[in-house]
Formats: sequence, structure tokens, C-alpha cells
Amino acid sequence: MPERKIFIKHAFILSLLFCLLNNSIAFAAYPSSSNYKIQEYSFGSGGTKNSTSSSFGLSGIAGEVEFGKQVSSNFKIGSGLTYIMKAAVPSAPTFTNPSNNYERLKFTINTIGNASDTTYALQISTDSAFLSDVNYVKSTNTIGPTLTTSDFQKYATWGGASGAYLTGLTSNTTYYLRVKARQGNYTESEYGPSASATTSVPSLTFSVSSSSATFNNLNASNAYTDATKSTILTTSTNAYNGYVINARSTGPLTSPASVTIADYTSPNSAPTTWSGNGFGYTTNDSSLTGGTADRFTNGGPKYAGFTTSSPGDPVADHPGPVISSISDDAFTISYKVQTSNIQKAASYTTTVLYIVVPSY
Amino acid sequence: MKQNNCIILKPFLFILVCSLLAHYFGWGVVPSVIAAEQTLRVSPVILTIPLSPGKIASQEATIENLSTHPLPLTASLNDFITSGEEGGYIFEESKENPLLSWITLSENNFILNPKEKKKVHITIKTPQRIPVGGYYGILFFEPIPQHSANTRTQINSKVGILMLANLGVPDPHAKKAEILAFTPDMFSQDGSVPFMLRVKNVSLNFFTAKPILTVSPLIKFSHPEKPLFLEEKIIFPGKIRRWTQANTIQNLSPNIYKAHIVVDVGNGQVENEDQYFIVFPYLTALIASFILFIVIFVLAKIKRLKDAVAALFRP
Repeated sequence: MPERKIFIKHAFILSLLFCLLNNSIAFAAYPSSSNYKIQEYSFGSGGTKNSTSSSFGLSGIAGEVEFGKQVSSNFKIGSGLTYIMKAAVPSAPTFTNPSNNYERLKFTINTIGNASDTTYALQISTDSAFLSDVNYVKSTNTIGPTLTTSDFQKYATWGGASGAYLTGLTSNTTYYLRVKARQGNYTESEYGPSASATTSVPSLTFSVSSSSATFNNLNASNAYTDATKSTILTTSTNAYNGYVINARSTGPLTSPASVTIADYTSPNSAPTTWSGNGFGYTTNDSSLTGGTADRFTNGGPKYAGFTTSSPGDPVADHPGPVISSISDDAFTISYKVQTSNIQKAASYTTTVLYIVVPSY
Repeated sequence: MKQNNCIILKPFLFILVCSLLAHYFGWGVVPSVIAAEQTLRVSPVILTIPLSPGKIASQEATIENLSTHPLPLTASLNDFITSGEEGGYIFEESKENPLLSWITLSENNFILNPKEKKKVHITIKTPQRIPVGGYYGILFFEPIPQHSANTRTQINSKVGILMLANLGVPDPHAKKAEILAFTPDMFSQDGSVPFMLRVKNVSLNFFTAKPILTVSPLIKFSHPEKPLFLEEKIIFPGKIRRWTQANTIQNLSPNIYKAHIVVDVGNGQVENEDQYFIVFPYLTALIASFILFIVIFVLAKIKRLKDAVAALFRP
């Protein structure tokens, strides 16, 4: 019996020693095999994407980039606990107003190394803290109150390095834009830092080169004709849909005794090479709305008579879309008056009105 | 000394008399530009005004005289209606327009000195009971013509600001637009496909329509084309806008394609439609097939053709 007690006592001491030794080995040693040995490891924040040298590469265990099995030609990490790794938080996008637009701003996403199949969503607000007036950039590059799956798009679809224009914004307003990323389910990052840009004030500047025109005295020496007078119309605007200038007169050229020189008979929609008598005009706008675009310029100057009805006829325009502002867009309206030799001598006048309105 | 004065004065008098006569009889060419220019800047270009029944809304428009001389100006309100599908205007000066009757301008007539700008305040007092929907008008600034000699034809300018007001908040789930037509050409010979798009506003409020076209090959020889963003256009209630001029899908390789049009009508709402078309150089293929047929025919019948030719030249 004493021998048995001694044996149990020794066995207990040996077991204890073995356990202690075993534990100390377990605490002190690192995983190894005949082919490899990990020198050191620790549990950190998981923020490192990977560590590499010329002979090995090891992905971070948490946070960042890929998920799934890690393989190479030399090793493979088999199934087990699979890590789902969050996409990298995008840095602030590039957000600008390069063309002085009033209803659109240009943005470019910064991917900061996310894989090409990563999708991005954009949040926009007029509040720098994103606490109020929060909207999302829809897949159509407009803004809307909800974020849907289709609004997550790849970098290339958001315009890639060229960026894209976000439209439908309010003029003269500062917007803040930030981006988040995801690469498959459960990988969505937080929103990154925001960038801001301000829409411009829309404006339209219109200039007429003169506020009156005095025609030559019509007589036999000039064949009762004057085609030397003109007005230059100059327009600058950042209106997206451009502008159109209409012209009309208050009536035909009329003398104080109410004798008239009739308006040239061809209409604006079908101007003709000058023939006969009357008072007409031509424009050098070769892409004019309201009919065949070059109807006034193709085949030499073609003339039409002024209409007296509102809003007049188009004499110059600049169609949209206007992405870069229009600056000093100039068109020349040239007048021509011709009478017969029996036209009563007098001073004939009228008023020509040029009306510029934004296109919509 | 007396004689010298006469020598100096005579030519001077002669020129003076000649000048007076020339002016009286209208001799000589009068310069075309005899008055200073008019240059006006307005801002904004389009005023979007949200309205609520019984409430007063305030907006402002800025007018600036960029001319080198003072300009007396008048501000006036006009009705306008849209015409056609290309964005035409008709200014209806005499028509009753509810919006215009609610508007008061802070100033209607004023003088702007050179480089001076003025803010014109627009106050819109909306009645308590009015139908929801869109109300529109146009605000014109026009220099008041100055009296001048009656030998001159007056040239005057007028600059307009569109005023677009929506009364009430539209139902976010209500259908706003309808694609009436989306018609790319069914067959293309050279890889360019013209198309037309017509969209109708079926809501009570105006909106800006933004069409985006995506073309994808059905047989995956090539990648989908980059989305084509068409011009954004305002569509008024009940009106139709058309996208057609210069809208052509370019440089497509032979394939069957799906054209997917998405029309964003704001607030996250979209309308979309798909159409299919074929890019195939069928004329080239027809000519090639014909040549191939001739070659095969000649090869198949070469012996008989030789006999025929020989018979033709046999004496």
C-alpha cells in the first residue's frame, strides 16, 4: 500500500512536470514542420494587407482585400475558418467644377488599391457632416434619396480615371461627396473622407454691337441697294442647353408719311438668294435651328424678311449640351435693303428686336 | 495779315459748307456702327421656383450693365408656351397666366450705370386654392430705346430668364414619364446606328430627363460600349421631347446588339426600354457571295465552258 501511494505520488509529480513542460513548450514554440517554421507571430490590429519577401508571401489575417483560399504554386491554405475581408476605405474622391457649371460637378473615385471588381457607392450632401440633406449618387449620375444595389458600380462604370459628371444639382451650392467600397457580401467599407465642390451661378451675357443702323442713301449710283450694314450679336453663357436668339421687327421700314418698304418675302425657314426689292437679313450661323441648319449660308448669303410676330425667328443659336461655358459666341446679322427707282424719297425706319432666351 | 486770314479761312469755310450740304442731302456713307453697344448679363438663366398654396415665395434675378454707358431698362413678365418636340418657344404676351398674376417685381423700370448690377426681387404670392402642377413664365429685361434721329433703324435687345414653378410635391411613386419611341435602325451596314428617342411627361410637374444609352453585344466578341449620356432636356407636363439629331451609335463591329435606354427623370426614378439591332456589312457580304457563286459556277462548269469557247472560235 505505501508502495502504491509512492507510485501515485511519483506519477502525479511526473504528470505535473510533463504538463508544465508541455505547456512551456506550447507557449514557447512556434508552428513548424520539416519544411517550414514560423519564427514569430502575434495578434495585432489586422490592418496589414500582406507581408512578402523574395521567398514567401503571407496575407493578413483580417481586414483588407481578398477572401477565400490562399494558394500559390508552393503552398495552399485549405478550408477551415474563412476570413471575409473588408474592402479598403476609399480616400476622398476628386470633386471639381472644371467648366464653371451650375448644375453639375465632376467626380473621380480614388480606389487606393482596391481590386478591379470592387464596387463603389457615393453619398452626397450639402452638409459637411452628412447629418442633413443626405442623398446618394444613382447609377444614372443623378442624385436620389435612396441607395440601391444597382447604385454600387465598378470604378470603370463610374467613369474610371476620366471621372464622370454628377448632374441635377442646385446652382451656387457647395456639395460634399464621399465614397464607400465593397467587394462581395459582408465586405462593405465605411465611407471615406469627403471632398467638396461648388456649383457656379448660371448667367447669360448678351451684347448687340450697335443700337441703331443707318442705311446709305439709296439712289441710282448704288442701284437703290445697301447691303453694307450689320449687327454683331455676342453671347456668353454656361447654360447647359445653350441659347437661341430670335429676331423680329415692329413692322416694315416706314417713312413718316407711312409709306413702306416691304419686308423681303422669303421666310426664315426657307431663305433665298437676294432677288427683287425689300428689306431683309442674313446670318452667318451655319448650324441654325428652325429648319435646314445651313440654310442661310449654303450657296452664298441667303436672305429672309423679318417677321413681326412674337417670338420672332431664330437668327443665331448654340445648342446644348454645353459642358464647357460658351464664351463670346459671335454671329453677324447682315441687312440688305433694295428699292425700285420710283420708291418715294423719305427716311424709312423700323425697330429690330433681338431676343435671347436659354434653351431648355 | 488780313490777306493771310482769308487764305486760312476760305478752305475752312468751304469744308464746313460742304459738310453741311452732305449731311443735309445724305451724301456719303454713314458708318454702320454709330451708337454704343448694349451688353447685358442676367443671372440665373432658369429660375426654379417651388411653390406652396397660400405661401409667399421669394426669388431674385440679377441684371448687370456691361456697356460703357448708362442703360435705362425695363423688366417685364411674359407667358410662354412650348412648341414642338425640339424645345421651341412661343411668347404669349396677352395670354392670362396665373403665375404672372401672382408675381410682383421689386422694380420694373430703372437705370443701370456702366458696370452696375442690380438684384430684382421676385415675390410670388400663391393663392390658397389652386391646382397642383407646373406654372411657367419668362422675365425679360430690355433697354428702353432712346430717341434718335428718325433716319436710323433702331436695334434693341431683350434678355429672358425662364421661370419654372412647381406647385406641390409630386408623388414619388407616381409615374412621371413614358418612353413613346426608342427606335435604333434595325440593320446597320457600316457600324453606325442612328436612333430616335421620344419621351412624354405624364406627370403634373416639369422635370429634367436624362437619357443614358448602353449598347451590349449579344454574342460576346466584344465588351459592352461605354454608356452614352444624351443631352438632358426639360419636359413640361403633357409635352414630348425628342432626341434624334446627331444621335448615332458609332463604330460597332458586326454582331447582334441590345440597346438599353434608361431615362432618369429625377429623384431616383427611371424609365427604361430595350431594343435589338444587327450590325452586319450585308452589301459587302452580298457582293462577296455573288463573286463566290461566280467562281464556283466557273469551276464546276469549266469543261463545258472550255468546249463552248472552243466552239466559238472553231472555224
